[in-house]
Amino acid sequence: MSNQLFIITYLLILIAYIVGSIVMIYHIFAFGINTKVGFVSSIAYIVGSVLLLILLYTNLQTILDLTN
Amino acid sequence: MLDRITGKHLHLPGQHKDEEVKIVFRRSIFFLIMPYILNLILLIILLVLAAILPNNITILQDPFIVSIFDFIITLIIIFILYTAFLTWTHYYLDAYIVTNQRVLTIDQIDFFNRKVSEADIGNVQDIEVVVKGFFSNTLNFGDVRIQTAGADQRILFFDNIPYPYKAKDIILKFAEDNRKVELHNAYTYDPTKTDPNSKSQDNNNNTQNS
Repeated sequence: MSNQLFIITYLLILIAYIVGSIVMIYHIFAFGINTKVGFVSSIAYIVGSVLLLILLYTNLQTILDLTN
Repeated sequence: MLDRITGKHLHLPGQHKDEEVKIVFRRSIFFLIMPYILNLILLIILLVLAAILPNNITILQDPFIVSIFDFIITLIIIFILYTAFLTWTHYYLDAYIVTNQRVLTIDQIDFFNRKVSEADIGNVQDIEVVVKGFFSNTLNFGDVRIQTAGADQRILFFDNIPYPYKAKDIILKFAEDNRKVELHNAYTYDPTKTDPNSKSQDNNNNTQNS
């Protein structure tokens, strides 16, 4: 039960984060003036986000291993 | 610099035909750096706490609690990254644009909430510069208020842009150039060189008259 709670929490965070990020990146490309700057900043943000989300996933794995 | 860019590669949403973006002003970089410094301080405090607390609090010796603690710390770091990018997005989307035809202010109030004001650059009549406060004077940024003449009189605000006096000169120069071009076009106007649409309209009028 507690495992499911952790997984659902992680998935909710992941979905909210991805939706928020898509909204921001959409605005940058739709209304931005200097597309080169927008592209570079978006790539940096995506790379940073992926690394942190992987770190969060490994933390989740540790929690799940300890609860089993 | 990020806060003042020029070049032909710039694309303006809703750009007119034969319109060329001359210069784009943004708020001073001070307004981007300040929130980033606050984010950085928050991040440092968080990392210091993450390093100190597990050694000093007995509850945090338990591996399960430690893993939950790490999870929360990572989550806060993700939130800081998100707010940093959000700050950047707002900074990037607020822009004050001068083209060879128009002056535009784009204010991104919120996501899906955007205010765009524009005026014909040839109608620019008066420009006022306001530099107020300690940071404005030391870091050289301020407000530029552009008043236009003509039937639709309006005031456009370029808030907290860097080097406002230089910006004022640049805008006045582009306005003067635009007026010269329009005057030249008016003097060299050749009625025989009209576009095909207006010719066909003239023909229709002639046939109706006859």
